[in-house]
Amino acid sequence: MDIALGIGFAVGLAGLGVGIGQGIAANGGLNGIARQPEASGKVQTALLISLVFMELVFLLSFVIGFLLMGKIGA
Amino acid sequence: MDFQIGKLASIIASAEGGGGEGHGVGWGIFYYVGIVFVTIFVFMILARRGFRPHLFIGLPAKLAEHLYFFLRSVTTAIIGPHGPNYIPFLMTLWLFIFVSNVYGLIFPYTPSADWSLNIGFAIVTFLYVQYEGMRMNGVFGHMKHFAGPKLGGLPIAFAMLISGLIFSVEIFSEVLKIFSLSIRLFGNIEGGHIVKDALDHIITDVSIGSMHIDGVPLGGLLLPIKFFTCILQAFIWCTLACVYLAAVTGHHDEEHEHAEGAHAHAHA
Repeated sequence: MDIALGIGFAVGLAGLGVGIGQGIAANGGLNGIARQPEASGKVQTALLISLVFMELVFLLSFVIGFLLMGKIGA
Repeated sequence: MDFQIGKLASIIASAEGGGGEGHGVGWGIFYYVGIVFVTIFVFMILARRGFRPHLFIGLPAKLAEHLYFFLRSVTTAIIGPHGPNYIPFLMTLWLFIFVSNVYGLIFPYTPSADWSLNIGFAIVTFLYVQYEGMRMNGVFGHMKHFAGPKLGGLPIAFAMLISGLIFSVEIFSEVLKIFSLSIRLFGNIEGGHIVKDALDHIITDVSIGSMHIDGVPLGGLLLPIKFFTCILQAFIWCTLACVYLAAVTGHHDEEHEHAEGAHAHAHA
């Protein structure tokens, strides 16, 4: 019970934070592309890389949840 | 060598029945790795048959050409003029990750949803990046790159302390790249499988009159976005490998570019 609750909170809170962070990053990237469309290629690459590193935080919590899932009922 | 047919069959069966909880599959992963390799090999043969001196004939050859030009533009944009040298390595990674991700859409289990294969790929990428850095800058130059910039104007003991600190942190983050790369692919693919399983279990055991439905496979609605994830993960792995390669090999071009930029700035 406690573990299941913990998994829910871990994944949910990580998703919340990562969603906000990726939204801010995408906002900046899209603003940059809208202001300077000729730089869209460079902005896209940098944006993608930064999004990927943010997503890693969520995936770490996902892995922790995955590991905890094996302990439910154990 | 007491490898028996029955054992092999049970391994294959356990691999096929792996499903969302694909762990503990054991040697069954090689069965799927073999399928992926055969697919890539057949694709390569078909693509090669379409090569002509002046034009490419057939869909596989054209797809291979598109993939080549795509990777060439990515490597040139991120690494620089010497980027296309790394296309063979990146093409291998791209094809394997993409094909095994796509098999994850069809089969209940896929190599890239297993951490063991991903961590192997990540170790290969890491070692290749180190090797290329040593080849371009020499072993000592490559090690010096970890120690950060040259600290002038400081007492020598203090500068050595700071450089040593930067060196240890850089080595740590370099080794951590293995985990970040592998966890990214594993989490995305395995997470997709778990979400699909959860969606499949939303509606189960429905009875309408005399008709009985065991379950509604709502997870199938995720196919388009999961296919997008397949492409994106293969692309992201290659992009990050490019970024790592650019960090260890691109010093000369970077300096050149900076000098050029400063020159243009002075003129403007």
